[in-house]
Amino acid sequence: MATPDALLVILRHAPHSSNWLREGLDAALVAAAFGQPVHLLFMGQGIMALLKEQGSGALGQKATLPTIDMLEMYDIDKLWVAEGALQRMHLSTDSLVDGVSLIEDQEISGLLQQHAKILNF
Amino acid sequence: MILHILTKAPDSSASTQMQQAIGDQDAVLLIEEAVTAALDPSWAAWQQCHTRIFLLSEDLIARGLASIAAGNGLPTLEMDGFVALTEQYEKTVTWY
Repeated sequence: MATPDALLVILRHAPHSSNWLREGLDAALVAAAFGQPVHLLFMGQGIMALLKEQGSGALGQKATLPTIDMLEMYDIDKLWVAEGALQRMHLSTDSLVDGVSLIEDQEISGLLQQHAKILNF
Repeated sequence: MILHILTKAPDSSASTQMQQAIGDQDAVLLIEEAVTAALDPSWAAWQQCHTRIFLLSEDLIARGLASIAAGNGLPTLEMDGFVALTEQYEKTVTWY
């Protein structure tokens, strides 16, 4: 399912409340810009990064939704979310951006095994 | 074959996410705040990974949990054991 030499970036933090998400997305974009195949796995609060109605926040600090929309331009087309995690967040795919691929919770450990390089944010 | 390092408490979201990601050949090392897992031998990960999960003794000692961990018969290792683990497993993923 995943190319073995691909980089897996795990994103577990929500936008706005910290820099974790932005730093994870930046790392993914830099790797992709250097021709590395990159796949993203959103876990827990990280799923909030995929909500399509986000704004730039009260203080106007840089939002991450524009970065999410830019991923495709960098050929980052695998945005994995575990179904169980989505349900635990009381969310469904129609409130998320397009291009999200749902996986079973049990597939997560397999995903990590398949990727030579993993970055965890 | 991944070494998972947890730095947060056993009831944290990082811990729950790590437990979802652990493969049956993977190992787990509990450091920093994660050594509070010594207090709860019934924590799911103790059974899930029984022979491949360790508490870092330096952090246990720092937090005053060493005797409790021993009393609960939970596996520990020293810093050199930590280094050996990182050599034994091809990939390391830290959950913090």
